[in-house]
Parts: sequence; C-alpha cells; structure tokens
Amino acid sequence: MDSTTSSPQEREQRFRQIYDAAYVDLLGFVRRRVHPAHAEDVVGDVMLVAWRRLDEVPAELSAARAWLFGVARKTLQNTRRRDNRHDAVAVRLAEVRQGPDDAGQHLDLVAHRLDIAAAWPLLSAVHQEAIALSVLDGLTAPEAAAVLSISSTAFRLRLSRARRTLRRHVDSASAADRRPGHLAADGSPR
Amino acid sequence: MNKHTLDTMTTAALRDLDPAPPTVLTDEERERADATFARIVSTLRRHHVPEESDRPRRRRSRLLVPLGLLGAAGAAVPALLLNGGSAFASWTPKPEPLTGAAVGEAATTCRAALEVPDQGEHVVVAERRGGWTYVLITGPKAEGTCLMRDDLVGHQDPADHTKEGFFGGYTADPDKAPTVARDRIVETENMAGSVPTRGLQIFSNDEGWFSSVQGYVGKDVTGVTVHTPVGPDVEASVVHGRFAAWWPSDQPSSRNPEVMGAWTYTVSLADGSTRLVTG
Repeated sequence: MDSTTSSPQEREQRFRQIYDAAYVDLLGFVRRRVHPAHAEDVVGDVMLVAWRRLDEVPAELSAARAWLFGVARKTLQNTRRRDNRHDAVAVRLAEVRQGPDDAGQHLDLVAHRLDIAAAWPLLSAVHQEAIALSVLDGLTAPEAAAVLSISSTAFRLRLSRARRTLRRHVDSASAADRRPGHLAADGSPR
Repeated sequence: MNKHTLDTMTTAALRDLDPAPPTVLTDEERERADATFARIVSTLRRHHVPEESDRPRRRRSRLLVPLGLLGAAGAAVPALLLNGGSAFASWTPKPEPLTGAAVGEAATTCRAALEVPDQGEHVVVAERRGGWTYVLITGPKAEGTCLMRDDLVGHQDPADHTKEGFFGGYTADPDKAPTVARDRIVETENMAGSVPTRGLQIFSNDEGWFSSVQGYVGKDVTGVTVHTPVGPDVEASVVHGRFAAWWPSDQPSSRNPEVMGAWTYTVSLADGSTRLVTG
C-alpha cells in the first residue's frame, strides 16, 4: 500500500482499506474509554481526520491502526475540560458478573478476576492506559509508545511500573482474602 | 503464586474483563459505519481543492490550549454562530487594526500568557474582531500567536489566561520566511482550535471553535480574502509581508465534515487586480 496517493480514486480506495481494516479495532479502543453510546461518533471523528490527513497515515496496517488510536486518544482528551486535557485517558473494565460461565473455570482465575476488578480503579489513569494498550488493545511496545507520543523505552518502563502496581494491589487484596472470616470471592471494593 | 503465573493469570483476567472484547459488527453497526464512510468521503470530495505540491508543511506550535485537530483544514461559520449564539457573536469578517499603545499591550499580554521570555520579538499582526483580540509576534527565536477576549488584554499574570477566553501557542524554532512570488501568498499555518468560553453566554457550549490561517504575502499583494468552505468571506490582516485571519467555526466532526473542506483565497494586488489562489 503506497503511503501517498494522487488520484481521488486511489485516495478513496486507500481510505476504504484503512477504514474496513481498522474500524472494529478502533471502535473497541474507544469503547474501552468512553460510554458505548458515544463510541461510534468518536470513531467517525477519528476517521474524518484520517481522511483529511491520509498521506500521514502509515502504510503498514498495524502502524496505521496505532496512528488511529493516537488520534482517538487526542480526540478523547480534547473533549474533556481544559484543565485535564493532557492527562492520560482512563480505561474502564467490564463489571464482574458471577454466573454459570464461571462454573468450568479454575477457582483461582475466578477469584483473581475479582481481585483485578477491585484493584483496577486503584490504578492511576496513566497505569490503566499502559496496561490496556498492551493487553486489551493488543499493541506492541513501539505502537503503544506512538499512541502516547513517548519513546518505546519510556513505555516499557511505564508498563512495568503499572504491572508492578497492579500486582501490589492484587497481593493486598489476596492477603485480605486470606484473613479469617473474609470471603475469597467477595467482589466488594477494597 | 509466582510472578509469571500471576502475570499470565492477570492477562487472562483482564481479557475476561474487557468491556469491548473482539467481535464483529452487527448489521446495524455495519450500516452506520458504511453511512459514516459515505458521508466523510462524498462531502469532502465535493469540497476538495488540490493543494499545491510545493505548499509548505504545516507547522505545529506548543499550545497552551490544545487544538481539537492540529493541522485540520478550514472550517465553516454556522448561521447559529453568526447570529449571536456563541461567544464569537461579536466577531466581524473585517479586522480592526490595533494602533498605538494597544499594540504593545496586546503583545505584552500574549508574551506573558505564553511565558515566552523577551528575545526581541516584534509585533507583526495586532487586530480586533468584535470582542476578541488577535496578535502575532515573531522573532528569530520564537513566534507566537494569541487569541484572547478583549477584557483579558492587560492581564500579565499567566494564571489569568488559564481560565476562559484565551487561546495561544508559540514555537521556539520558527521557520524562515519562504520565498513568495510578488503576486502570490504562501500559507504557512492553519488550524482549527477552541477557546474555553464557560460562562460567557447562557445556553452556549463551553468551547468556542474557530479556524485560523497565517502566512506570507508577495510584494505586490495589498489584500487577502479567505473564502471559507461554507461560511462568509473573511478579510485577513495584511501587514509587514504577512497575513493572518481567523473566523468562528464549528467543531470539526464526522457529522459535519463540510467544515473541514478546503478554502481558497483572493489576493488583491497593488495594480488593482485580483487573483484567486489556493495559498
């Protein structure tokens, strides 16, 4: 895929390729960060930027996806109050629901999921963002670094710290779970 | 539980808790996605004007108030904005040049707000459109612009400008002036941005969106008019070989892609003739 296009037909064709290939992933990225009701509008705004700046979109699809995520992140930052526009964009997790699906799963994993859900809100938005880019959005370190406009080294360091912090919160939760009289699967906030 | 096992379990747990797990679009989502695609492409196709191949690359500034879309193309002026429904209701398409002490006061305020040390920059453009003052200062080590509500002019505490009604930015490595044909202009910067305007107008949004352009003019150019995509024509300030203009806009989005359409210019020349250019 050529990174620059000249004719309107080529330009539209290239945009169509990017649009089709990245739309679902971009929608997922946005849904993790805003109310689902607003997600499609944000994706539309991001794609509009991509159309206007098509020659700046990386040719390689994976890098193009990261580029779109970066635009989406800036778009989300800009919709906030001015004072925190430069802050990280917090990431939400799904609500924990215990049900029949848990029946066939290892109890440790079920309990761990509850601990993660409880620990997640204790993380800073910066750390949530680093972990989510890596684990949920499926980006490599260089791609995630590009989304955040930082170096790969800085991202790896941030991700390492984020994981360590999450682990500490989970350990605290697990220790509390082991206390006599505490339910191991208690999902109440800690 | 060892660290590796915990990390593996944590990854698995996080993916279980993903609020947007990998999926395919529903038919309804696919229809909406296709409609958005068509809206983006078809509208901009109608407004597309090819840029000149030697058009200078847009520059980025360090912005105190972040832009909605850095480098985004021009914007329209919705009727609502021009009918007084926004903080820019008093905006005028023709600028009023600042004179005398007002020039220095605006520049000093801008420099203080941007926290740019005085390195010998001089004022290039200082104008007022309605209740808003725009100033462009430049020098070999810095170039900055400010758009501010008139009542903020004269306030030199940077904290005064972290509130509503101020937009500004500067670059510490300004580009050298380009070579411009006598009867031409070179647009060096354009942007869509927003000014926090909370409390300025009842029922108004808390962001006043605008678009701005600036650049250089050739020796024979005496006037520059910007033809915005769907809004009114805007008369630019032309002074000291530079031009600058800004106009109220709407927030660029996929719902109104026409505001991102291309614009053109009419330049007026010293011999009385005019010329339509793309900048």
